[in-house]
Amino acid sequence: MNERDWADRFSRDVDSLLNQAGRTDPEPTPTEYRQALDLACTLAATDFSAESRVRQALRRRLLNRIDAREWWQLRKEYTMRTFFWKRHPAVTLAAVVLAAILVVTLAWPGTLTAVAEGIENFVQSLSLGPHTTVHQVSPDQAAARPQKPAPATPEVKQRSDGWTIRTAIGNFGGNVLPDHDATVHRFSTFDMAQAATPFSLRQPGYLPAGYVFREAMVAPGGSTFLFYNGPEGDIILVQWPVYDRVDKLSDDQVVTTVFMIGTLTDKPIEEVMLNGQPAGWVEGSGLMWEADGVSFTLGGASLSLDEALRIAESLE
Amino acid sequence: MDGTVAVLANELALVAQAAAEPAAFATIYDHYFPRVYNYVRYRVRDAGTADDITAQVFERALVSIGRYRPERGPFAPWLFAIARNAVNDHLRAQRRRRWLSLEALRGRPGNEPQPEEVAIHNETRVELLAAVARLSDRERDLIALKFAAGLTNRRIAELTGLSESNVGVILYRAVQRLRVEVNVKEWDHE
Repeated sequence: MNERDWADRFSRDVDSLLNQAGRTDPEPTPTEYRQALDLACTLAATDFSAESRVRQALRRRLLNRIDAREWWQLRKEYTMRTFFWKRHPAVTLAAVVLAAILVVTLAWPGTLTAVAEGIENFVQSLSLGPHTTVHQVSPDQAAARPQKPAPATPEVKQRSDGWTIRTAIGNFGGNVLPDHDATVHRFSTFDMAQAATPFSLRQPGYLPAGYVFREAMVAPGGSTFLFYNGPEGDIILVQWPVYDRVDKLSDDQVVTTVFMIGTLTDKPIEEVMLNGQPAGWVEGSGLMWEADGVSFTLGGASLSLDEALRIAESLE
Repeated sequence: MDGTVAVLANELALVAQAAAEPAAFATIYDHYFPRVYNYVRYRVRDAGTADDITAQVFERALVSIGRYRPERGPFAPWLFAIARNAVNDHLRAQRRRRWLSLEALRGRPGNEPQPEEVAIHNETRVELLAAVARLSDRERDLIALKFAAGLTNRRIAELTGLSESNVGVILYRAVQRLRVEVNVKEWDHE
């Protein structure tokens, strides 16, 4: 038997042991193999949970959260907030277009960073990973920053210090270093966009019926926007590389530049799970999450949460 | 624990009620707490961190359990996907903190056992954890998914993106490496 044969047999024996069926094969086996199976039993049988100091307190805390009074209070507040937005369509429109994604570079703050820093109090903040957060601002703060209606087709603007792309699901933007190119490049195929992007792009394995790829835009820093055209308006998938860059200045001096994404919205943020990790859903703005050093936003003017999750789970 | 994977009766019905019914969530919590804790414990160095991460796992599970869809797969892999991501997030953050605070780490004893570890009097457990800690992170993940979470190789393959046969080979090699690391005589019944 070669190693793969032994590994297959080991897998069968372990599964039998874990399912109380005993060892599968009475044939004699080498001592090393029997010892490995004994060790597997020990690994499965060893219980460390008695050393936990939070087990009972955590249980109480979680059950209290489900407790009827607290739960219903939360639902009531959420319902009231939703009702408020539905009754005020003008404010709701502002909510859609306020959604702004900010590339916040600690070393070179710019216009977009200033917008984020100008807002001191968030109603709600949700961290979706080491480099991705979503903040809900108050209606007052939203009203203080009136925005144009969202465009049906994306609008690109470039300035000396940055770029913006206005889309149906919100405004996206980033800063560039002084004397660096702020051009947003447009491509008609996915492969051309991939060639211009410094990380491995992902694309949906599933799209709703009638949707096809239309174009891609690659902004400075590699942030990539994929547009899919279909019967209910665009579906947009945005992918931002996020990371910490550490530059060693001398033996004892290190400068860390953090490339991260912050999203502002004045709508409630719903925490959902995507592939076992937290994601944020904002009605009209889309689904946001972080995975493998990339911050994602997926949305469409008419895209439902269930469809967004299905598309996100199909990324390949 | 005797090493066999216990099955929770009426699991699907309990999961469906758990978002709003404390008794249902409590049953799920009691059943899965040891498996989640053990999974985390095999992957991190100290009991305090294992407690923190286990709490995060159940907090996230409570937030999302209403969105669990049985047609997409059994509940246990869904829960352990949350656990796996929580541990991975912690390990990534830990690596980042190490980069940011190299100065602060100078002079700190490197591998001294944490107080929680000292409190574990059972030498077998300490030896086992120490041996598992010497494996690569991927091997630790697979060992924990197999023996603490009790998942099949197929489910582990789905979670990790590896092929099922590759999972089997990596697990076999990892257990053989562990066998050499620990004092196998302790478990040799012959």
